[in-house]
Amino acid sequence: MENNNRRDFLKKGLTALGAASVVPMLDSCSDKHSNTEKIKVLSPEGKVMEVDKSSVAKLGNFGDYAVREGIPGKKFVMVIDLARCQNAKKCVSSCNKNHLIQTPNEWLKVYSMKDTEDSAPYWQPTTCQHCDKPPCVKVCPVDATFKRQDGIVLIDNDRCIGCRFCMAACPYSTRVFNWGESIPEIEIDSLMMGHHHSPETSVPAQKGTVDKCDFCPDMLAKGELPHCVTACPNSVFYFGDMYEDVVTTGTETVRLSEILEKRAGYRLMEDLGTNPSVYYLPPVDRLFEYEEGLENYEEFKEENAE
Amino acid sequence: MKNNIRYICLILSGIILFGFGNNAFAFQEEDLIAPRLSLGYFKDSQNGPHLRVKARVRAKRGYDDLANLKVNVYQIGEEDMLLGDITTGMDGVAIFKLDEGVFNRADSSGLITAEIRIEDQKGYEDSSADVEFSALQIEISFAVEDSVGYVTAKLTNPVTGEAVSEEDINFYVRRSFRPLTIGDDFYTTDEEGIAKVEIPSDIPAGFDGKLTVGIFMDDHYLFGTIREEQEIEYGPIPTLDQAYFERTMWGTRDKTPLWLLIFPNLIILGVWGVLLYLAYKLYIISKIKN
Amino acid sequence: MTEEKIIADLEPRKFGKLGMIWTIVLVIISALGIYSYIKQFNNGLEVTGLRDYAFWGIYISNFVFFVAISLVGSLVTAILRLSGAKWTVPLTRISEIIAVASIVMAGLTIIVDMGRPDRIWHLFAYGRLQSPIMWDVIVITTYLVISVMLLYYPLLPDFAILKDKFTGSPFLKKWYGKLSLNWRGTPGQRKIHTNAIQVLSVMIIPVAFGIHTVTSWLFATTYRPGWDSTNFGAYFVSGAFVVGAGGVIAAMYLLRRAYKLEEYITDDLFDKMGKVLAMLCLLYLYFNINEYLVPAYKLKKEEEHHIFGMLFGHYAPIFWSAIIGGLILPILVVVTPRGRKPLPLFIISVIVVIAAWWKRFLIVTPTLLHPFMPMQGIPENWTEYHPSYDEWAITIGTLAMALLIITALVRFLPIIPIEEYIEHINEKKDEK
Repeated sequence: MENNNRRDFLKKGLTALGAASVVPMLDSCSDKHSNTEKIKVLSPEGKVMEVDKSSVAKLGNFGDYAVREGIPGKKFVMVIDLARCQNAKKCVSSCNKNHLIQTPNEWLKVYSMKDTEDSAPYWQPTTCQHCDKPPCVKVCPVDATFKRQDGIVLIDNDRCIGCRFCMAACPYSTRVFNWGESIPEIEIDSLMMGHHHSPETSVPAQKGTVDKCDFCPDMLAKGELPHCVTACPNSVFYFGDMYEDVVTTGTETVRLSEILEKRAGYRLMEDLGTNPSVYYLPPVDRLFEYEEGLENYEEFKEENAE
Repeated sequence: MKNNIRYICLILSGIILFGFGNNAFAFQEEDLIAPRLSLGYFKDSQNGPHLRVKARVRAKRGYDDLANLKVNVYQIGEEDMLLGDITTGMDGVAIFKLDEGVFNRADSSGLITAEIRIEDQKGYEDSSADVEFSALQIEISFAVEDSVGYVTAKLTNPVTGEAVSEEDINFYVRRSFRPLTIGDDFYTTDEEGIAKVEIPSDIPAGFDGKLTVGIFMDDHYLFGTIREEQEIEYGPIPTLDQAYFERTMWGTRDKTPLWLLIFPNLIILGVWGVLLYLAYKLYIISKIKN
Repeated sequence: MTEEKIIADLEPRKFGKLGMIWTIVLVIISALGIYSYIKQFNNGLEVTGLRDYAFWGIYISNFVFFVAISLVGSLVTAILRLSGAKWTVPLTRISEIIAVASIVMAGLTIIVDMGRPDRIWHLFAYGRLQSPIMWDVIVITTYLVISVMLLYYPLLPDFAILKDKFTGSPFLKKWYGKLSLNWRGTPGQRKIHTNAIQVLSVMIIPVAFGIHTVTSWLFATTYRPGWDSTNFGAYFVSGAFVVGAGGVIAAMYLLRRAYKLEEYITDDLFDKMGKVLAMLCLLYLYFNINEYLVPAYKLKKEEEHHIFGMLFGHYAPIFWSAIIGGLILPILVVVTPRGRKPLPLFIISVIVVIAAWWKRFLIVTPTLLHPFMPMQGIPENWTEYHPSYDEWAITIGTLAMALLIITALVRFLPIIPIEEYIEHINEKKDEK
């Protein structure tokens, strides 16, 4: 126990040091005035720790937390019900709108899947899987992508050097790269309404860095659900906290363990050992015919399609 | 000469008066906004008993939320009493917390009438909305019987002291995003105003061992929308996944596994030590005598 | 041969007309590459043919190529030398020069591939040892330093000789003097010198294996079909020795022609290097069979697309050209004594080097275009990879720059170690 405490102390010291050394450099890069004010936050073990104020998001429901550390005592989980998906793509458009994403850089994709020759095709919305053993995080040379204690894998676009090793490591093809400047700078200024870039929002996209689905931590911090969850007209997405054993579509709230058991939930590429935080419910007893989704389906699209 | 000046003054003041009057007239006719107000009685743990005002305005398609609208709040009785005023936020919503005095002024059956009015607000038409409601006392109790936990709710009218029976209430436990209903969607109170539900024993409590259970009554014609919550000690405490705090391959640079710090650094130090030594030997070569 | 003649033959000489044209052409190609890179720096990687699926392309294969060819330094100066093959003496300098030039360009190429080259300092400020990229950064820096030292240490006696006997410009002569660090060949100096070279030769072998093994791990540590292989380290290292040997043979031939060094770079030397090449090709062939036969036998679903695309599909022309040109042909030609004559061996070596470059292209690109998830909802041209003009210009520019560095070093350094060669000749005489 004593040992543990000492380790914790060291850990926090290091984190604080890390935070302190990062901030001035980021500031000098982005020409923002520096803010060295310290703020107290609660660690998950219930101890008070001091971190730099600028690394803390000042948002609501779960109290202040350090963006890089995540919300203490939470472990977010998503369940995607394939039996309800009709490729309406409202999730995609809502995600694009709220993260200022331009096609074809979508973070969220709905794939047309067909597991074997004879089995029926189905629609599979695919977000970042937020793996517990994220291969992308493992290979990042500069801590630009990191795993938080609440299970979310985020990208710090101010840190990313654009080596794209994470994209090579991710078996789910969820990472996208900003090959060029997608939105003109003036436009970004007005869209951002005075907000600065933060790993919490991943907005706006930065040229030469990697982006991906972030589970909308800015919404979660306010106690609200991610954009795709609320946008879906068919309640395909369940979201919740694994420790609470509850997931909700916003209208329907169920026990996570129950729904996974009853509906035989599974995760993508379980054999790779990545331990995703996203579960799928198999497309059985479907609400919609696969064909209904075809009108929204484009196998390929124009490079700069709106 | 003097007459002339008087004439000019008269004409000028006429123009000014006419102009102003005309402007005011135009404003009233064309630019007055007629907000749609709705008012409800709510009670929850965050705000206590309160009135919730929602102001909207007709738009091309449907309605838009109306922000920054000031409304006056009255309690209607033998004499109308001004309780205060509130201004709507960006979402068109304003919350007006009710103090005890409001409830003390209820009539003998416990009925309270509140009204909001837009009065003399520049640019808005006068309008109003009202709501009639009655306070409801919900007592939540928790007991473990034969190692099964039960939550019991007892509903009474605080003014008359009568039990509130035959009402549908929902039992839930509080969760991060949405509450989780326990048992059936609704339970009806009996003649003593009591409803009881079993809490599944496997619903995890918080890390502090506490579980917040609640009673929810949705949009009742008399009691409004009420949430009454209570913290109990029940349910298994989840175990915190320590992976984040451990030194793993997935950790940040301050959590690099020790072996990965020690061995590569030993090799690096060893190799670079030799290289530096050999570079130093170059210097020795240049200085050596024989 | 007298010492005087050897020194006169081997001292750095001014370029002739052909040499000047060669240099100017390289400068122009490099400049075009730099121009394209400035464009890329300003506009982002958008100017390349890379996109979200084929996100690594010829920059990365070029990087792997450079790392591979730089292994020649350790092969000739260390492995062959330590195994007692004295005949490699005339080749040590040129192979070290190739090693230094290509490892420098490998470093630059990886910066070219970065989306944010302005943040290169993040690697040092926020470096994270869990990432194979960090290992690569460390091991490549180390290899560069060892290679430079292994180039410089043996140069000391030569600089001292040139200090006295150089017939060219007095300015250069003065610099040779400075660089010789007061070398007088005293017993004390010789002792340090011999030991240092011995230590460096031993040290460079694991580091050389390290750079290319770690480079292979950039691929092998992922799950992707075609990369997810335990064979990759050995496969890369053996391939690197093939291209390194090819590179050094080609350089030998060109230098021999340009400087008329037939007496030093003898036909016998070509014969021996030819045998080495044949041996390395056989070794590489063995690892290739391992690399393709085993997955082709199992035919896991993802591997199937990848392997069949390579053997019979879209990439078959490049694949078979690289295998036949880079492996089968050299083995067939070089096993005959006539195939080991300078000219045929030179031609084979050039083919080997070119094939090796394309082989690295095949290691990077086809795998990326066979991801686990379907490629949908993207522009159709993202499912293929066609490097853009700028990408080619930069890549060819880096190759030209490597050659330019080699050319510059060849111009100002004695390309055959003078003193070592004199010793070598004397030893030979003694044996007789």
